[in-house]
Amino acid sequence: MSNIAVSFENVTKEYQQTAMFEQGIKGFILNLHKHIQTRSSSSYQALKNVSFEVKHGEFIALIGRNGAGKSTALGLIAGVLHPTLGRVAVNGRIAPLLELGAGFHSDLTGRENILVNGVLLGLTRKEVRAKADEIIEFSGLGRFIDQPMRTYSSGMYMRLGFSVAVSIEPDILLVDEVLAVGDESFQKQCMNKMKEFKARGTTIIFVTHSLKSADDLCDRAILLHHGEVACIGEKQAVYEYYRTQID
Amino acid sequence: MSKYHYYLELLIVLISKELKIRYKSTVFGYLWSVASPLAFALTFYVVFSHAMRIDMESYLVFLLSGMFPWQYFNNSVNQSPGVFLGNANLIKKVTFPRIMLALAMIGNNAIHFLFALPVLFAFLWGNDVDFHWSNIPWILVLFLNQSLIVLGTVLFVGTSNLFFRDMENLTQVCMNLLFYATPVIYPVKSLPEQYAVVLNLNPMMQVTELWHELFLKNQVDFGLLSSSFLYNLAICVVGYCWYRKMEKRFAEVV
Ligand SMILES: Nc1ncnc2c1ncn2[C@@H]1O[C@H](COP(=O)(O)OP(=O)(O)O)[C@@H](O)[C@H]1O
Ligand SMILES: [Mg+2]
Repeated sequence: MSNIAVSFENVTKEYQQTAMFEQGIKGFILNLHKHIQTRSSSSYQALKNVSFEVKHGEFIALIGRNGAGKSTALGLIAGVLHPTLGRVAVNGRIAPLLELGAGFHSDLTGRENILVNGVLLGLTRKEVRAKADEIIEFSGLGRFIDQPMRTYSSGMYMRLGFSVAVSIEPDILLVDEVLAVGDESFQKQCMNKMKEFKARGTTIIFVTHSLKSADDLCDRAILLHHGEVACIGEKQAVYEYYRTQID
Repeated sequence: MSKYHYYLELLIVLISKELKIRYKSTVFGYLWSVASPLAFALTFYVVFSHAMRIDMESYLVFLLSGMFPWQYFNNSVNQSPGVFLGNANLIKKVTFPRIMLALAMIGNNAIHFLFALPVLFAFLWGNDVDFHWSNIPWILVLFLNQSLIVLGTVLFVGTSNLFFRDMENLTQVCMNLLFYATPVIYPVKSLPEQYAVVLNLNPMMQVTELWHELFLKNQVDFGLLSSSFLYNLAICVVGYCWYRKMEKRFAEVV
C-alpha cells in the first residue's frame, strides 16, 4: 500500500447545477416550482465510477478532450473537491499547479507574493525565506521580482507560480495545462525540472491535451472521456487509442 | 510543526498581506480608519446638536464611543460578501481551512479598530470624561464579545454569498437599517418601551450599550454582559455551522 501515491476507488463526482442560484434570491423564489420539479436531474456527473492507482515516482499524463473531467480529477487529488461517491486516497505532500497565477495578488511584488504563496502551500515563513533566493533564481525574473505583479506578463506569472510550487519539494506535483503559457526557454527549464523531480522519485500528474509536450517524460497515460476512464496504460498505446477512437 | 502552529503562520501571513495591500494603495492608510468614524460622528453631532437641538451632555463623546465599535462591525460585515468569493483562485487551488480568510479580514479590521482607540481616549479626556486606565482590560473583553457577532455574521454572509450572489446588496441594505436600529446616535433610554422587545433582537444593541457604559461611566453591567455574550455566542455558532456545512463545496461554486 505504501508505494501508492494516489488512488481512486470507484470515484464519482457530481456537480450540482448552479442554475438554481444563478439569478440570486429573486430568481430562486420565482422559479421555486421548477427547482422542486427538476431537483433530481439538476446534477451533472463529471466523473463516473473512476478507479486508478498511481505509484510513487510515476509520471502520469492525464489526457482527454475539454470537459472530460481532467481538472476535476486533479481537484480531487489536491483535496479542494470532495468525491460524491467512492474514495480518493493520497500519500504525500502535494504541490498543485492548477491555475495560472492563482493566489498571487497583483498589488504585491513578486517577492511578497512568494511569501504568501509559499505559506499557503504549507511552508512556514522561515522556510519560505530560506528558499526565497532559490525561487527567484529559478524564476529568472531578476530585478522584476520587486515590481508589483500587475506589471507582469502571463508568462512571468507562470514562471513565478511554477518556481514556488517546485520549491516546496512536493511528493506529488499536479500540473494542469499551465506550462503552455511560458516561452520556449522556460518550458524547457520546466521540463528539465520535472526530469530532475522524476529522478528524485517525485510523482507527477500532468494534464495535457497536446500529446507532444510530455511525450518523452511520462511513463503511463490515463485517457478520460466523458468522465470515464476510456483507456489506461503504456503511453504509446493510450495515445494511439486517443488518436484513432476519440480525436 | 503542529497543525495549529501552521494555522497561526497562515493567519499572520494573510493579515499582513491585507495590511500591505491597504497601505500600498492609499497614502493616508491609518488616517482613513480614524477619519471615517470621526467624520460620521461629527456630521451627526452637527446635525443633532445644532439643527435638531438634541440636548444631551457630552453628545460628541457619546457618539464617538458607539461609532468606533460600530465601524469595526460595519466594515467587517460589508466586506464579508467578498471574503470567500474574492479569493476564488485560492479556494480552487489549495486546501487550507477557508475560515482563515474570514479571520484575516476580521483581524485586519480589528487591528484598525484597536489602533483607532487612542483617538477616542483623546476625545474622552478632552471632554472631561474620566475614563480609567484600569478599565483597559475590559475593552479587550468587550472587543472579544463583539467579535463573536462579527465572526458569526461574516461566516454566514460570506458563505451564503457563494450560493446566492445578491447577498452583497442585501447586506448593504440591512446594515443601513441596522445602523438606525442600534443606539449609536441616540441613547437607549430615548426608545419607547413597547419597541424594546423588537429592538433587543439586534445583537449590536446590547454591545453598544456595554461600550457606552464602559467609556462614559467606567461601568460594566455583568447581567448585560452575560446576556450579550450568550446571544453573540449563539450567532457565532450559527454562522460557523452554516460555514462548516457548505465548506466542502466552496471550490465548486466560487
Ligand atoms: N464547478 C463546476 N460546477 C459545475 N460543473 C462543472 C464545474 N467544474 C466543471 N464542471 C463540468 O464538469 C465537466 C468536467 O470539467 P473539467 O474537469 O474542468 O474538464 P477538463 O479539465 O477535462 O476540461 C465539464 O462538463 C464542466 O462543465
Ligand atoms: Mg481543465
